[in-house]
Amino acid sequence: MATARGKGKFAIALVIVVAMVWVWGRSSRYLKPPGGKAKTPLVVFAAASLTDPFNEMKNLFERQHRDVRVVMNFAGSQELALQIEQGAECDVFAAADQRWMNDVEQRQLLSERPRDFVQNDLIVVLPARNPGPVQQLPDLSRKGLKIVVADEAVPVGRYTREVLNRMSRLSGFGLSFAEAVLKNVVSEEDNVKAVLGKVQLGEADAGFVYRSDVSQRVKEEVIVLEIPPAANIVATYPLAVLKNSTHLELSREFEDLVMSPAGQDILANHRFIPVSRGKGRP
Amino acid sequence: MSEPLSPRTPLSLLRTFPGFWSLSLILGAAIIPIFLCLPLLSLFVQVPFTELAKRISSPVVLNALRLSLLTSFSSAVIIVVFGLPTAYFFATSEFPGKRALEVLMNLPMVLPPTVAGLGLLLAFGRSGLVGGWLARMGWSIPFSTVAVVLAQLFVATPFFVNAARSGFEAVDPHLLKAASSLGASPFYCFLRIVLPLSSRSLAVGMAMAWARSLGEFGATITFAGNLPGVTQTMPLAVYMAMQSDLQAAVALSVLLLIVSFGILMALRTRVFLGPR
Amino acid sequence: MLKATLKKKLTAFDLEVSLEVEKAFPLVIVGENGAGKTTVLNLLTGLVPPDEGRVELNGKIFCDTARGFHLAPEHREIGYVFQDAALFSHLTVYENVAFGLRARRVPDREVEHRVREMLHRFGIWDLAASRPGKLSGGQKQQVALARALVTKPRLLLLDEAMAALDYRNRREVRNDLRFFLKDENCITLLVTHQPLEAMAFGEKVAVLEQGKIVQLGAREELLRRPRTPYVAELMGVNFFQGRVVARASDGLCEVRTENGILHLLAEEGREDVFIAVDPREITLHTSAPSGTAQNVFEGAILELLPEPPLGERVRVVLGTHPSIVAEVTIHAVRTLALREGISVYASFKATAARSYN
Repeated sequence: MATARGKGKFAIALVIVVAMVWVWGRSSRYLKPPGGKAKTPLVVFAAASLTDPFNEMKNLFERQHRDVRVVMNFAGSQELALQIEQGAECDVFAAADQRWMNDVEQRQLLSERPRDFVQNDLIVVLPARNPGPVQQLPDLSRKGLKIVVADEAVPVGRYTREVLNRMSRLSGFGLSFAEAVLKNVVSEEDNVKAVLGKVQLGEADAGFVYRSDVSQRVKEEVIVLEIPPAANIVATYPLAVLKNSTHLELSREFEDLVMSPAGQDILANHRFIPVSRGKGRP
Repeated sequence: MSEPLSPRTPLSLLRTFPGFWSLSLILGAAIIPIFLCLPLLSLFVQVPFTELAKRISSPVVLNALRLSLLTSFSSAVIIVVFGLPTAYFFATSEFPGKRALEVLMNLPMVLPPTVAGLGLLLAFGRSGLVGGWLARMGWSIPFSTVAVVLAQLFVATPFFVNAARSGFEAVDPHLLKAASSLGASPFYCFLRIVLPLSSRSLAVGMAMAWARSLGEFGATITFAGNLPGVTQTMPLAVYMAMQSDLQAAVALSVLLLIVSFGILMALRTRVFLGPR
Repeated sequence: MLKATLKKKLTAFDLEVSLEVEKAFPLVIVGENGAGKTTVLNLLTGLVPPDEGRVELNGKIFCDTARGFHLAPEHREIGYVFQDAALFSHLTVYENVAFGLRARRVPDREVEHRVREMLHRFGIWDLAASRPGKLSGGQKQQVALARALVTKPRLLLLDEAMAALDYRNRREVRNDLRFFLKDENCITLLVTHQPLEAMAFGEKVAVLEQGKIVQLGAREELLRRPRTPYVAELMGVNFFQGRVVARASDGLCEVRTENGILHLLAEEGREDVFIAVDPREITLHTSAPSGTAQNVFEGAILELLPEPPLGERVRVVLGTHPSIVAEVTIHAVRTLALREGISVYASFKATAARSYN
């Protein structure tokens, strides 16, 4: 009986060890392709909203530069800026908002003036599976709704409030529109994906997100309401190479890829608004 | 029962057992306290006290602090009320599937808190398993203070239940046998024998559960959202402040640390004053 | 009068016990660890329900499986004293003794009166405010007894209650207890694995082996007429079991045992017999003894144990089949140069063996 139990324990331990070795093997194969010599790493910090297009950008760049490995770090722009200011190693920084790029620039950490590479604007999403009482935008001011926005400290949160103020000045909304909508806010999320998630799950009746956030996958779960162009803002995303970059040339090439027609196409495919096409290096 | 060795100062330890063991014990024991205290002290050094005073008096901070204390203490009370019978039952009863259930009940401690929050949303959200039913009765939990408490309960309860359980299991069964032969009902035994004898474990478990509730972040922001005065507890306020103003975030953290230190210290002292 | 018939399936064996204990004659249950002693006590207190059985104390029924009746442990008015005293470490001596009264909601004033009286009777009033951690083993056991007795139990169960005490404390506590029980209307039952303890305490002894009572009787009876090898070993007597196969006219018989033929005297009409031989009746020799009607065994000496008080007599344990214990004088040990490991002959006369059935 004791030995049977001992055998059982031994078998479990064996399974765990084998599983760990397997995972280790797989992951190291993934990190270091067999036969390849050590690749030059290029570190790109990009705003969370750029996750999908920049992963494609990474694949494209690695196809063009066989000896380079692009390391992506996605997070909120403010968090990335903070990491850079605290001395994180980074070659290229792509922000979702001018404010945090300016912050980094003022500390003289950039090797150049930042360049605007793409634009985005806001839309309103409603849960598809649980459409609440909202039919059109003016309904958002109705009492008792659950509206989720991003916190004011996050770029998209600031844009949301600006858009609401602009809408208040349009006919059909009313001067107290912004105030009434903000009263319906039940949560100020720390990032735009969290806003989207709450709407997707049907917990919120409406949310303000970037147009680019509504991917093919999300599209089936939400209903999109367009904001009148007169009230919408255009968020411009800046991009820059860091002064401390150890691969200035490669970094510039990555930057150029983003600005190139191919790069702009990728962004457009992910519902971003490209800046004027084909703009070369000044 | 043998005499316990009296507590020793590092110096007297070296004098009684001079040699490699004592020296490496003292040096080894020094590393963890230094490692744990260094980040905490760094926060204190960062923040000027005039700044701290200014921050504390702002309504956002006061709201967050009030909410944090309110929710974490409510959670602690609820955890104790419902955790005691659970812990006692698991400490004294056997039933099929007990092991598996115990492991399951400990999973919230390992689960990434945001996943815990998602789980709570899927259970208690408007379109969740239980939440959908509650919503039809006009009761909506997400984005409310109740949701904050639920999130804290979910992640903190295992800490108390585990500690209480091991406390209960440590009570000598002979004592219960003796008490029942003396005419004590099971409830009287629990009150007069089991509770006092496991008071230390209970207090430690309570402190741990309270501390975990106070620091709860991931599940709260996912399940309860972030709205000042309603669901924005101190950790959420700190995180939000970090999005725009690092100094403010540090000031809030220091405030949270001071309050926690005071309460944990009070609990400790109370515990050590209790009977052995 | 306590009457109990109990059956309980245990993992190693089935426990099946039937007891009757009178107030005047405390009963000692003696048995090896794992023989089921504590289970018997648990069945009596009601902490463990029997599979089948009935317990009755002075006409009050505790438990009757035939009628599906089970009285909760706290309503049985039983005093239980453990080997480790099992005092409540978070309460003072006073509160420990008061516990049973408070649990029964006795008014405060009466509690004080009774606890005070009990502590005085055991001479431990000055310990009233101490915590159990500060007491000696003997004091702890006295507190435990006071705690059990203050509730005026009808049945007192002592579970190895004296085993952890040193010799002097043991006698003191035993005397306290005897003195005390004289005036109380309380039936007493002690379980122990120590034969000496059993002999010292009980006039009536029950021997428990594998869940069954193999022998029950007055202690003299057990000493004189053990009925199983275990009881004989407990009592320190040599024991055989066999069948008379031949009988001579002078009463001399041949008895076939598992270990060969023995020669002894047995009354007519007794065919299946138990045989006890006192260790003092056994003589040792270094060479094979001559003479008729002698029972002779050969084996190596396993142990030499000097007997108290002066070591003038020595117990010699032999590796014969079965193992035989002899008690010889120190003089014999010296002249025969006995020591552990050497081979000797042991013999006893036909008249030295007591046969009975």
